[in-house]
Amino acid sequence: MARFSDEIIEHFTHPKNVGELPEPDADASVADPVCGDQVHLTVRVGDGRICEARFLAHGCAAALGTASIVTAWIVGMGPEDLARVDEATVTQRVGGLAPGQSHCARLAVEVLHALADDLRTPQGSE
Amino acid sequence: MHLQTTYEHRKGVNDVTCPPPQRGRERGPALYFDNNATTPLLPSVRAAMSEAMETFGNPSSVHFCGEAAAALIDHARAFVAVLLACDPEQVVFNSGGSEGASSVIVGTGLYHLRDGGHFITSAVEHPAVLRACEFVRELGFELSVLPVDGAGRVDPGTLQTVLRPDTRLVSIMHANNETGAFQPLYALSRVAREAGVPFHCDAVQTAGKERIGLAEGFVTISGHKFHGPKGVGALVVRTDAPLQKLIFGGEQEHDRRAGTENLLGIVGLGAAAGAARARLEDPNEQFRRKSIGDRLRAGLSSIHGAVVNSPTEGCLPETVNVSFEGLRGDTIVDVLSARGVAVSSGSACHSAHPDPSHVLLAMGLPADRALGAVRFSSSCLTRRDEVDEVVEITEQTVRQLYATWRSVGTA
Repeated sequence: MARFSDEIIEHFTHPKNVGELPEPDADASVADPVCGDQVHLTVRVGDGRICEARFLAHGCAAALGTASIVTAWIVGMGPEDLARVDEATVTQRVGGLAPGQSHCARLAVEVLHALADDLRTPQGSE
Repeated sequence: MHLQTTYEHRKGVNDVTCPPPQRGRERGPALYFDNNATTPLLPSVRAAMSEAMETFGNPSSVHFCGEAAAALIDHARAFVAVLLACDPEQVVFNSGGSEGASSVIVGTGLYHLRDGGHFITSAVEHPAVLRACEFVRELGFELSVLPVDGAGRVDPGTLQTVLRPDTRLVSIMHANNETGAFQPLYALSRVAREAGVPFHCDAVQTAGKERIGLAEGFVTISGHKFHGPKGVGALVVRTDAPLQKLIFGGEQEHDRRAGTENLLGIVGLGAAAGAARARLEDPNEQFRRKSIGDRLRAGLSSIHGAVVNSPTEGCLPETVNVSFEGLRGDTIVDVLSARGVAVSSGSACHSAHPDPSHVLLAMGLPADRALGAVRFSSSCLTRRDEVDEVVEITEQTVRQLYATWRSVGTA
C-alpha cells in the first residue's frame, strides 16, 4: 500500500486546527515512549459536546496528519463518544495507516480517552 | 557506435526523468534534490544505451557478433580509465558500489582466511563497507573502526597508530554520502602505502564530480551516481594485492569477475564517464557547480532553526546536510515529498522507531540533531531557479512544522 492516504497527506501538508485554545474546557497530552511522537489536544465544550478543538503535535508526518484529522472529527462528540473510539476506527477514519504507522492510531486513541477522562472530571476537583 | 563525450544542457531533465508525484503535489514540476541517492540518466547516456541495444552478441564469443559487443565494452572501459586516470586493464566492471566494496573487503578476507589478520575502516563509511567489514570480522579477522572528528574526517595520524604488521586492508571513503565531507584521501593512502598495506577507496560519491588519482590501491565507483545506469559500476585495481574472486565461471574482466558482461550497463557507464570527464575539464561547469552548491547551502542555512552539518571546507559542493532544531528529518522529508521535493533523511523511522544517522553520531552530534537532519544533494543538472524554489518550499515547510509544536516556538 502507499505510505500515506490522500487524507493524511492533505492534513500534514495543510494541517487544520493547529494551536492551543485559551482557557480550554478540557485538554490532554500523550507521548509514545518508543518513537517520541507527542500530541496535545485542547477543546471547548458546549451542551456537553465538543464544539472546537486544537492540536499541537511533534513526530512523524502520519502522526501530524492523524492529529489534524482527529481535531476535525471529534467536533460534536461527547465524552462517551470519545471513550468508545478504538484504533480500528481511527485507522479507517484517516484512510488507512501503513505498517509501522499503527502507533499513530494508538496515540490518537490514548489522547481521546484521556480527553474523555478530563471532560468527565468535575471542574475544580483536580 | 557514437559515444558522446560532452554533457548535455540541463534543460527540462526533471520533467523527463522524474514524473511529478501523483498525489499531494502542490506546485510546479518535481524538484529532485536527492542526487546522492541516484541521478537521472543523461540524454547522451540514454542514446548510447539505446544504440547498444542493437548489439546482442556475447562479448566472449569469437565470432563477429561477439567482437562487436567486446568492442563496445573496450570503448566504455577506455572512457572509465580516462575518468579515473588508470590503465584500461585496471578497470573491472561490476554491478556497482556494494559489489565493489564486497569484492575488495571480503575478497581480501577470503584470500587471507588461513592466516587471519586485521582490517581498518572508519566509523562513517557506507553500510556496503561497514557490513562487509563486519562480515570479515565474523570470519575471524580483527577490525579497527577509526573515529572521526566533528567534520567527519579521519586523522591520518590515528591510522598510523592503528596499522599493524598483519593489517590486510584499509578501506576509507573519498567523500561521505550523507555530509559530503572529504577524507584526507591522499594522506591516508600514503600512510597505508608506506606500511605496505593495500588501500581501498569508496569513491562512489566523488566519481564523476572530482578527480580521483590514487596511485595505488583499489577504487570503487557506481554508474548511477553520476548520470549512468543503475546496476553497473567498476572497481579499479591498481595494486598487486591478492583478492579472492567472488564470482566463478568464465575469465571475464581479466579473470577477476566471472559472468557475461552487462553490456548495456557498461556502455551507459562509459558514456557517463565520458560526459563526467568533459565536465571536470570545463572551468565554467566547475564554477557553476560550486555556485549552485553555495547558493543551496546559503539558502538552507538562512532558514530559522537550521544548522548545517556538512563541513564548510573540504566538502562536496553538491551535498548540504542540514538539521532543523527540534524537528524530525523524516517528517520534513515526507512533507517535502508531498510538495514535490525529493530529498532524503539519514535517519529512518522503522517500525515507529527513528534511528539517527551513524555518520552524524560518529561526528559527535547529539541524537536529537542527528534525527533532525535532511540531506539536499544537487547534480550537474540542477538549475539556480530550482535551488531558489527548493529553499522557499523548505522554509515554508519548516515554518509550518514549527507552528505545530509549542516547545520550539512560533518562528
